Amino acid sequence: MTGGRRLIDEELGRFLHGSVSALLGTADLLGVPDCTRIAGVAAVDERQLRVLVADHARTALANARPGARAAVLVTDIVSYRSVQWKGSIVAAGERRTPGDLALLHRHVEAFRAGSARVGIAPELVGRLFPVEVVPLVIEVDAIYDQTPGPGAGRRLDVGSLR
Amino acid sequence: MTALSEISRCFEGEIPSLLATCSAEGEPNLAHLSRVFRVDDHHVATSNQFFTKTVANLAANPSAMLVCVDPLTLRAYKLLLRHDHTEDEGEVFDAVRQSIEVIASLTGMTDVFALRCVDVFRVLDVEAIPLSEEG
Repeated sequence: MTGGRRLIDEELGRFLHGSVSALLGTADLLGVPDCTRIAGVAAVDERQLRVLVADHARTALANARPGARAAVLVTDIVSYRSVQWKGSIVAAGERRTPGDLALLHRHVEAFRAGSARVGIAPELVGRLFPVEVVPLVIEVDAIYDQTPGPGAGRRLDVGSLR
Repeated sequence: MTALSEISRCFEGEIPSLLATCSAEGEPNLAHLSRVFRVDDHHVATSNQFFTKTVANLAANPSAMLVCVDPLTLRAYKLLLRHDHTEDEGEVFDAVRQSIEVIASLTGMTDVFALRCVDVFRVLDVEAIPLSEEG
């Protein structure tokens, strides 16, 4: 882990493993943004996130060159509590590991567990997520409250979003 | 390109959409949209209520990517957009305001959800995101 303030604590780590929808924002060298669904997200340490994207997410994977900026938006699909991290890609192009497949499975099942409460048929949830994924590692340097409402976009200190 | 009229269910507001923008420095930003409005076959509009970072990004860089979802099939679509203009009056603004006011009154948040203006985008491309069994 590199130096700097803590941006992912244990509570946020648990939040990532709940019934959440997660999206990755990237941009190409011309400044055209892309948004793609994340199929699994976990805290590597207090400043790094490991995210899984579909292997067919060509634009996101092309944009995710080391050093490129990225945004990770995670939303509880039941409460709409939302957190957005900003950071830089530090690892891309690695092969997925058995741990990544376990993370994918956990993410899909957690999403499915909350889906019926928001009107999404649980049996359809599998359609949203890929079978094959590619891992990315993002070192984050900022965190924002993105819960819909007038406070959306407010920069946070870890521990202030409880 | 998929016609906007073919994905009209995406604009009913049942599943929130996502808008990705990018700053002049190349930093992406994601924002929830409670509803996206189809203006015509080539334009969509979004309500501008809270999106400070989005507004700043669009002022510097008009490119945006919208992700919307068909609530019946869960198929998602990516719409490549270019910010065209902002309106604080007129036909589109009035239609969006009426929709926002209905939502706000139902949730008792009329003051919180006051509409400032409407951002109108030209749609440059529409891409269907593969569902898993098609992937």
